[in-house]
Amino acid sequence: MDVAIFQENRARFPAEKLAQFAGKYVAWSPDATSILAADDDELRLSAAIQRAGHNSAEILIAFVPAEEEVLLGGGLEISE
Amino acid sequence: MKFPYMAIPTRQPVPSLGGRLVRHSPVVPVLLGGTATPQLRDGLLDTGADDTVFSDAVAAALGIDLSHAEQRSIALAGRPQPIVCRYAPVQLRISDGVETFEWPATVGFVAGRLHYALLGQAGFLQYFSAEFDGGNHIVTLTPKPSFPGRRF
Repeated sequence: MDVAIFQENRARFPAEKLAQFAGKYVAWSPDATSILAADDDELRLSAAIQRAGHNSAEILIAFVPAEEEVLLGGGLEISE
Repeated sequence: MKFPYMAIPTRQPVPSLGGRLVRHSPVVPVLLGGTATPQLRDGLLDTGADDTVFSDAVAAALGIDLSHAEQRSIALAGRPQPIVCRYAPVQLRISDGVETFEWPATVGFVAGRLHYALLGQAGFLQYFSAEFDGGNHIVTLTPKPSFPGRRF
């Protein structure tokens, strides 16, 4: 995974496309041009990525907020 | 090592940013290793966090058994009561595509779901000088002499 390319492509990823996964965890492709899979559950998604034969070190799993949230502190939990 | 801030598009104009439709946060990809199933997550460089903390789903994905782990109560923003944090050793790795740094760290895992992993003082920022260029949305991390790992 090339981190610089990943960051660049992720920043260019269409917001409306990402919004389709709001409230879920997503698994980014290593070049951040696509979403490989999504799930409500982080651990289940991680297991699915493993089962699909991907190298887990190359697949970034991230949460997509459902609402537009302003974070006033890094430790803020995801609201249910 | 230089990392661009992560651009976070907003659906509504942000009043505090003159109506812009994007926010920027110092979020960097961090790889947790030391097991057969390394995990890559977003980590927020958080100078206000005492510890480096991930959700316990990450520990489970790594295959780390936390049942006998040392634990402490910690406070999370937005949560009225403290939460149990369980600690385990891992390998952390970050890269900006030019340089890569890897080191051993004891990090915390909490049962709550976090927006981002917290890359706090213990285990992470203690080993770097960090320059946050908020105007240009770039954070520069420079390892300190105490850095305990390897660079390549």
